[in-house]
This record gives sequence, C-alpha cells and structure tokens, in this order.
Amino acid sequence: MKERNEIDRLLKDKLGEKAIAFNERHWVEMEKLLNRRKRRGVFFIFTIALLMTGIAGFALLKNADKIHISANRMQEHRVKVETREVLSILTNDFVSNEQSDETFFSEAKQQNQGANESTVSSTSALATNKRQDATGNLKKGGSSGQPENGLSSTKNTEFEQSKQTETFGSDEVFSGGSTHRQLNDQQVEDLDGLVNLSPILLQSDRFESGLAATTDSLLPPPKPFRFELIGFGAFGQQQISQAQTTENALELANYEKGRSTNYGAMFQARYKGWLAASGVEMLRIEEKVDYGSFRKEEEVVVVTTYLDSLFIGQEFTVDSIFDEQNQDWFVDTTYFDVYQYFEQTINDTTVVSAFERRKEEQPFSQVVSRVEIPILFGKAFNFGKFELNVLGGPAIAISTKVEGYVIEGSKLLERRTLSKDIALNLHLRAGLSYALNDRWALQVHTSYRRSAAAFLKYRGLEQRYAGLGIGGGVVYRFGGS
Amino acid sequence: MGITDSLLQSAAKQKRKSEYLLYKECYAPLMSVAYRYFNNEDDRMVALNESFYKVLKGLKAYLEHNPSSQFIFWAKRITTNTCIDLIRKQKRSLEIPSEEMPAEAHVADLNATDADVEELEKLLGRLPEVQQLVMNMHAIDGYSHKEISAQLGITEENSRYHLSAARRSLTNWLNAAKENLKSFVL
Repeated sequence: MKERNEIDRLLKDKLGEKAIAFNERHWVEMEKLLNRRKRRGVFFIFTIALLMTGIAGFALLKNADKIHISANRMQEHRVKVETREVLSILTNDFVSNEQSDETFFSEAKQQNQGANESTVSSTSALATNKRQDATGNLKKGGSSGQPENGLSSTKNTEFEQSKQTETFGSDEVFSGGSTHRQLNDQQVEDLDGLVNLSPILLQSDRFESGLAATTDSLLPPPKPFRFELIGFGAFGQQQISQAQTTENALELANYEKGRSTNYGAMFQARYKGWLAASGVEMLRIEEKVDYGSFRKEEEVVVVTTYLDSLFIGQEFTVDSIFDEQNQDWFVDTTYFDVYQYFEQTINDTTVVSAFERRKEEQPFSQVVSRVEIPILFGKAFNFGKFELNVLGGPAIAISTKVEGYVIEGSKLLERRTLSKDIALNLHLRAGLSYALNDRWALQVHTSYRRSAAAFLKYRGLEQRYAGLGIGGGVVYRFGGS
Repeated sequence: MGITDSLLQSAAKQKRKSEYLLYKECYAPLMSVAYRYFNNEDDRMVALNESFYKVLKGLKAYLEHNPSSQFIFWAKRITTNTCIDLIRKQKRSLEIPSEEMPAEAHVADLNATDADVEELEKLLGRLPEVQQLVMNMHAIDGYSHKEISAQLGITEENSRYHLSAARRSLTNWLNAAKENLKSFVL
C-alpha cells in the first residue's frame, strides 16, 4: 500500500499544478462564449418583458369595465397628488430625546419648506414613522428615538419626500394613463458622534405610462330591429368569357381575366339576425387581352366516294365424249364459279378539327363600367362584438359604358363604345364585422358575382363575367326598437 | 495581483475587465487540470472555457455561502467535473467486463521519485484512456472509488481494476526507464 501511495504522491506532486503560460487566444474564445451568454440574457429579459406586458394587458382588459366608463372620448378622471415626508432621528447619549426631536423637526421643517412651497396641492406633515434598518431592528423617529443598547454614538437625520401624480383614463375600447413619481431623499449623518455632518441628497424621477385596448363587451344589448347604412369598397378579379360568331365561320371563344374595383352604399335592415339589404354599387372592370387570340375549334366534313364490288352465280360446261371401249357417247359436265362485278358508289364522311391562330391578332383593351342594384337577403351570426353575416340574391346590372380599344403599338386602330345594356347578375357575399360601439362597426367581406345573362352583345360577340372580390367598409347603425 | 475578494465580487457582477483578470489568475491552475485529462490542445481549451463559464455563472451564489479563500479549490473541482463530463460525452462506455479483470496487480519496487514532469506526463499519456482518467481522479484529484464509479458510470470494482492496472504499468515503465539509465551510465 505504501508503494502504491508512493506513485500516487509522485503524480500529485509532479502533475498537480503546472506552470502554464497564459494564452491570449483562449481568452478570445472565452469572450465569445460570454457574449453569447449576454445575448441570451437580453433575449430572456425581452421575453419576460413581453410576457409581463401581455399579462398586464390581459389584466387591464379583464378589469376595463370596472375602471371607468364615462364617454367616448378619453378623459382624465382621477388626479392624485400626494406628498409624503418621513423623519427618523436617532440620538446619542449627549442629547435628550425632546431636545433632539425639536431640533431636528425644526431643521427638517426648514429644509422641507422650500420644496413644499413649490407644490401647490401638496401637504406637509412631520411623521414619526417606524423604519426598519438593514439588521431588521425597528428604529423609531421622534420621541422614541433612543437606541436600544444606549451605546450608539450615531446621530442620523433622514427625511424622504416623494410626490406621485397619476393620470388615468378609459373609454369603451381604449384605456391608458401615466404615473410620475418624484423622490427627494436627504440624509444627514454624524457617523462618529461628533460634529462631522455629512448631508446626502438623493433625487429621482420616474415615469410610467401605458395604453391598452379592450375587447370586453361594454355595449348595451343589441336591439332586435335596426337599420344600417353600409359604405364599402372592394377590389377583385373577374373572369370574362367571350363568344363571337362571324360570317366567315370563324368563331371566337375564350376566357380573359380583368381587374375589378367597386364601391357603393347599402341600406340594410335587420330583425333578430335576419338581414335584407339593397343599395347601389359601382363596378369597373378593366381587361387587356390579345384580341382573337384563338379561333374556335373548326369542324370540316370530308365526303369520300368510292366503288364497291360483289359476287353472284355459277357457270358450267357440257361436253359429249365418245367411249371407244364401249363404243358409245356419254355426257361430261364441268362446273365453274362465275364472278360478276356490280359497281356501287359509297360515301364516307370524316370530321377534321383544328385550332388555328388568327392572322390579325391585335392587343385589345376593354373597360366596363356598370351600376348594379343588388337585392340581398341573409342571416347574421353574433359572437360578442364580432358578427358573421352571409347574404345572397339577384342584382340588376346596367352597363353605363363599355369601351373597347384595338391598339397596335401606340396607335389606336379601333374604338367601340356601347352603353345601357341591362342584364341580371347573381350576388353572394360573406362578411365579418366588428362593433366599435353601439352605432359604428367595421366590416370586411368577400363577394362573388356572376352574370346570369350576357352583359355585352356586339356584332355577334357576347360577354359574361364571374369573379371574386374582397373589400371592407364602415357600418353605421341607427333607429330600430 | 492574486484572487482578491473585490475581484471576485466584481466578476460576479459580470464586469468584463474583472472577468478577464480572474480568467488570467485561474488560467494556470485550471489549465493544469485540463492538461491531465486531455492530450489535445483544443480539447483543453474547450474544457477550460466551459469550466470558467460555469464558475462565473455560479460565482454569485458561491460567494454568498462560501469564503473566497476556498474559491480556487471550488473552481478546480468544477474543472475536473467538466473534464469528466466532456470525456463521458465522447466515450459511450468505460466499463470493461468483470471476467476480464486480472487479480490485484503487484507493484514492483519503486525508486522513481526523481522522475521529471515531462517523463511522467508521457508515461501517463501512454496509459489507456480510462486508466488515465481513473488515475487522475483518484491519485491527483482525490476522488474515492465510489465517486469515480458514480461520475464515470462504472462499478467500483471496475474503478479499482483500472487504478491497479495503471499503477502497475506506470511502475514497470518507471523501473524500466531507471534500468536503462543505469546501463547507459555504466
């Protein structure tokens, strides 16, 4: 065992601690590690701050109705100005309690006077608050300022003045406010119990502010029967189908896409969630196509005539042959197949189809302006301040202007203008609205429209359109019972 | 300068200059620990920096409950544990089957106390890695077989075997080196 310990001791002595020269490169790597730690720290603080903000916001939202509901505009409803002064005195054996109280109270009064005068609504008072020192002992100011052991030679005069102003306001949706806290802390210490007074003045300002929005329903219950005026705007994409028949059997049939914008106003009546709406909607569709980009599939009938043949009948030959042995004649008959050809005409019909590009292909632009008068019916589903509504129905559509341009480069080759064609449309609309208050709401919606009949007829050309749009609007509610 | 109270307090507050000074002060003692566990320079650096990072992370809590005079021992202990952790991450198993274990090794007469540091390091480096690890932990860092078995995830019996084998190898090599030296002189 001794020998074993010997080698252990040898290793411990020789290898226990080496003199190794410092390598600066290792510190560079260490710094990278420490920097990553700091970044993690910042991220952690940011996450915590975000979390706390979320919790505070949530708490504010939950209690928003308890805070204040007064008017639609933000208003200051509470202003609190508070001034607090604390004086604590410790005296030594050389100064009697009463004397020290008077001396330091008057001294503190004088020192505070200037500060209090500048604050109109502040109150000034001297207090003998209990204060707790670092060791947990209770120190008393004023008449009970005697230290417990009676041996302390520390004379410590301290007063603290703080002023706090809070401003807070809220309406049905938003709430917010600010706090300003000003702290003046002055200490006069005589650490050695002699006359070395060391005044220390601490002053700090702190501002806090915040804003939150609430989704709590602070609205009165909705009326079952109401009227609404809706102003809206939307954009979308329309698919325009075209078909054209011309004298030379060339037909045009294709689909083109056009951008659409529309705006309008609707009057809506609702009764217990059922909706009826009508109004005026201005629609504009812009399309840009290559005019006659493809011909319609062409059918060509090919008639082929040729001859067919068939076989009918049989032929035979009768020969009389003399038999020399019997010295007599006998009859020998030979049969032949006979082919007769009857010519017959057969017609065969083949249909040949083909796509061909038109030679006179040209860029074409078209702008369609229409007025639509929808008559819609639907249902609304309420989820607190949110409401989902679905409407559908026919619409009378009047083309106020349809302008087409055939352009070659910058040259206008052809221009055609039509107006006042009336057609029938089909409308479907689904919207989501958010009630800001009893009267106003915001709405987003998606809509689908489709031509029930051709909206344009021009030299054999017929056009229809169908498409989706998305938009938003403002709802104003009024009347009702 | 040395490791002072104020330096430790300042480093605990994450003052970069203090961290640097403390790193510099701890470099030699902590690196010498890493030196014994790793042959590769990069591995040593990683072990040292990870250990120092742990030291800085736990420094504030350490200073609240422990005297600063014991700091370097605490830091060395952290470094040793970090080295072992890193080795454990590299090696899946350090256990050897018990039937392969030889009887307790006989240690030959040892008069090698005058062996120099470099020679000892070379000999230690010639040991199988597990034996080197157990030897380091037991002989130099003062771990018991129970602690070694817990740290390395091997049995106490296995730990004793590795230690015994390491001692036997080192003794043989040292004696052989001494014999060589004698014949060379004669």
